Amino acid sequence: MKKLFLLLIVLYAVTVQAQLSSYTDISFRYINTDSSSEFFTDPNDSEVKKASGYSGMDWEYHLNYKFNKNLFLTWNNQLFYSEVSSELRNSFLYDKSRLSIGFRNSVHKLSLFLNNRFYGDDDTTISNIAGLDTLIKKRATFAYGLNYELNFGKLEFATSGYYRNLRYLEYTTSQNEWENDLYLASKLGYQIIPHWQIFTNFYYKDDLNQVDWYDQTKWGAGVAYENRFDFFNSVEAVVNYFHSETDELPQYQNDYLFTKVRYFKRFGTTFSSFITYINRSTYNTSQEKLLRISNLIRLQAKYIYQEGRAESSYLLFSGKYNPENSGSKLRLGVNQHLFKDLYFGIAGEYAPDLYNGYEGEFRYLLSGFRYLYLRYQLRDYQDFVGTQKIQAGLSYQF
Amino acid sequence: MRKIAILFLLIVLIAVWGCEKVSNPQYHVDKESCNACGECLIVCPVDAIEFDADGKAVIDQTKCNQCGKCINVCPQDAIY
Repeated sequence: MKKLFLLLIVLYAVTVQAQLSSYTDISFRYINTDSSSEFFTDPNDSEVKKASGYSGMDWEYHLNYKFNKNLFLTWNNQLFYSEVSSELRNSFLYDKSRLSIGFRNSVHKLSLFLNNRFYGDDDTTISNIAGLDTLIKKRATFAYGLNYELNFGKLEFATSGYYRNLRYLEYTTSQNEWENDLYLASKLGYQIIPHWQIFTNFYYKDDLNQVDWYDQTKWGAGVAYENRFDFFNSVEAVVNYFHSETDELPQYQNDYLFTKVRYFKRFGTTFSSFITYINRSTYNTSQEKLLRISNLIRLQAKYIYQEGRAESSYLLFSGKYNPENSGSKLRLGVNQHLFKDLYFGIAGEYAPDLYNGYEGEFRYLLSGFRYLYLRYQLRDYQDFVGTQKIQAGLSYQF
Repeated sequence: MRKIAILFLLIVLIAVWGCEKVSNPQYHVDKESCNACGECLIVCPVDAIEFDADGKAVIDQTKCNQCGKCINVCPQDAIY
C-alpha cells in the first residue's frame, strides 16, 4: 500500500509538470525537370535513367517533451521518398532522425544525443568518400554523442563529443563496411568585465579507419562581446584565433583568424533587421600576404504592414554577399493576407553564380499553427538541372 | 560610436576587397542561421556534414571536396 502510494505521488509529479508539444508536416510533390535531365545512379549502367517528371512525399515529425522542469526529451524524424534520386538528393528514399534526452538547471546542462540516417538501397548515388579509396553507396549513418555545459557565475565551460559510424556498401565488391570517426570539442570562457568574455577552445577529430591523414586538431583563443542594449538594439561580436594541425589542408591555412559581428535593430514593432559579418583570414608566410578564406555579409529586413489574426502580412528583403564561394544572393518576398484564413506568399531569388528562382504559396489556416498549403517553386541552377516543384501538404501542431 | 563604426567598416572593406582569396576556399556553416533541416547532410557527396551537439550542421574540412552542392540547397543561406 505504501509502495502504491509512493508510485501515485511520482506519477502525479510527472504528469502535472510534464509538457508535451509536437508538430507534424506531410506533403506530396511533383517535380518537373528540363527535358534533358539525366540521373546517374550507377556509373557502369549503360541505361541512363531519364526523368522529366517524378513524384514523391515528405513526412516530418517533431516532438518536445519536458518530464519536469529539469528533464527533457526531443525527437525529430523525417521520411523522404522520391521516385528517383537526383543530383541534389542523393537517395530516392531516406529517413533521418535525431533523439536527444537530457537534464538542465541554472548551472548544468547534460544531454545525450543520437543522429541516425538510413538510405534506400537501389538508387542511392555512388559516392567517393574522403579517406575511402573506393566507390561506395551509403547505407546508414549513426552518431552517438554527449554534451555538457556549465554556467557558474562568470565561468562558462562546454564540452561535447560524438562517435560517428558510416555504414556503406563497397560498390566493386558488394561488401558492407564501416567507416568510423571521433569528434571532440571544448570551450572554456570567463567574463572579465560585463559583456566581455575571454575564452579558449579546442577541437579534435580522429579518423579511426585511417592513420593520421584525415585527423585534425585545433586550438583557439579569443574574445567575445555581447550586449542587448534594449528591445530595439543588440550587438554580438567574436574574434577567435585558431591554430590547426592536419595533413589534409594547405599549411598556410593552419593559422587563421575568425571574426563575426551581428547587429540587430528594430524600429517599433513593425520593422526588424539584422546585419551579420563573418570573416576568416589567414597569413601566408611564404608569400607574405594576408589571404581571405571566406567572407559573409548578410542583411535581412522585415516590414510588417498589416497584423493578422494568426499571421501578419509582411515584406521581406535579404541579401548575402559571399564572393569566395560564389554564394552571393538577393531575395525579395511578400506574405499577404487575402481574406478570412487564406494567405498568399511570393518570393524571387537572384543568385548569379548559383541559381535564379521564384516561389509562391497559398496557405489556408485551419487554426493556430495548423494549415494546408500549396507551393510552387522554380529553380534555374547554374550547375545543376533546373526544376519546377509543386508541393501540397498539411502542417499540424498539437 | 560613429568612429568605431567607420573603423569597422574600413576593416571590412579591406578584408573583403583588399586581400587576395585563397586558392581553395572552404565552406562553413553559420550556426546562428542554420535551422537543422538536414538538406546539406543529404546532398553532400563525400559525407562531410553532420549535426553537432547543438543539433546544427557542421562541415568536416578534412572531408569536404568543395563541390558546392550544400550552398545550393540550404534554405536558410547559412552556408558561406
